Amino acid sequence: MFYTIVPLEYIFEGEEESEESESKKQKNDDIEIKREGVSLMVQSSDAGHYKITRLISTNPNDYLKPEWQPGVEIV
Amino acid sequence: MGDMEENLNIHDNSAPIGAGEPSGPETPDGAETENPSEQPFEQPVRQSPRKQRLLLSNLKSLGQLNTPSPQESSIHTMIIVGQIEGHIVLPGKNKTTKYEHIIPQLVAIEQNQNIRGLLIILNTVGGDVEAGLAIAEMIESLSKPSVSLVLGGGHSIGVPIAVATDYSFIAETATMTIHPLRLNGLLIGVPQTFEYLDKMQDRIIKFVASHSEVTEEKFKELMFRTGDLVRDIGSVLIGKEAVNCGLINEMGGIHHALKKLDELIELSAEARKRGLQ
Repeated sequence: MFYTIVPLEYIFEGEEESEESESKKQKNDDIEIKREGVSLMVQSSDAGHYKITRLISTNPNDYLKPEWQPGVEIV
Repeated sequence: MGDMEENLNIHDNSAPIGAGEPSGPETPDGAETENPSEQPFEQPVRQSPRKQRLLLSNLKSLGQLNTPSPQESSIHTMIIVGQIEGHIVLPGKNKTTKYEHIIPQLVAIEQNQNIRGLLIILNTVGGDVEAGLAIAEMIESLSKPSVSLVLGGGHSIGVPIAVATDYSFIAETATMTIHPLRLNGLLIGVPQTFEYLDKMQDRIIKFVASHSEVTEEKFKELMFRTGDLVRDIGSVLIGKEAVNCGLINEMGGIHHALKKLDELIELSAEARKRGLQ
């Protein structure tokens, strides 16, 4: 059950698309990895390389780390 | 091994900042050894840096040692953003807050003795009722002081989360939308459906009323008000209005929120001390 100001048709817009575009989309989907006990949402770019899109941590100091800034590439 | 222990001690919480400098006269760069791969320095045993890194990362994930950052923060922060995601994974374009991230973090905050307070920052459009109430109940039942700050928007199911903390703030320009709950998907057209909906809505109303100054009647009035929303019934509270109706404690920003949290931390520390005596 949803309690939100965003219309439901907007939230689920584009859900029923062809499988082809779905698999294409999945390639660009964020995946979650753990580094030093902290979750990072990353996108795989080149082989073995990941681009950080989001940092999931409650420690505000983690967000100051230059190596964990969004957009930074990690191996 | 002895050398390693000495290096680890530098990052121990009990050691004051800067205490690492005089502790290792034979390793002048001892304070920078937390990144052995970047700063290779001669070790008597070859595998030592790797072992040390392993040990450090183990201890870090347990929250026992300081991270390489200069100082561990005693206040942790949680950002509730976008849609609060429940049992259904929302399509990729939705920015979401997931309870499988939030709930374990709250458990860790409750357990980690170095964390003394929690700051919740909200900019959410609402989302799943169960997940939202789960997060609100978790925040409410924390033994550590908590303060929330509504920035931008704290709409729908964001309202119970905002009031779940010990003290709440709202930015002057931030808004909170209060509107009725709606059923979605396939439903059976029987009178019980309405009763069910009413029960679900009551969960939210009761939680908000018991954790803020707003009364159940007033909250319902805000929920069913007409003429405030363009396509809907309900009401939009902007900054001071949320404070005036008793929903939020005070208007303010990050500075006010952190100052209040520090006060609450001090009060709880005093209370604990008194309890021990």
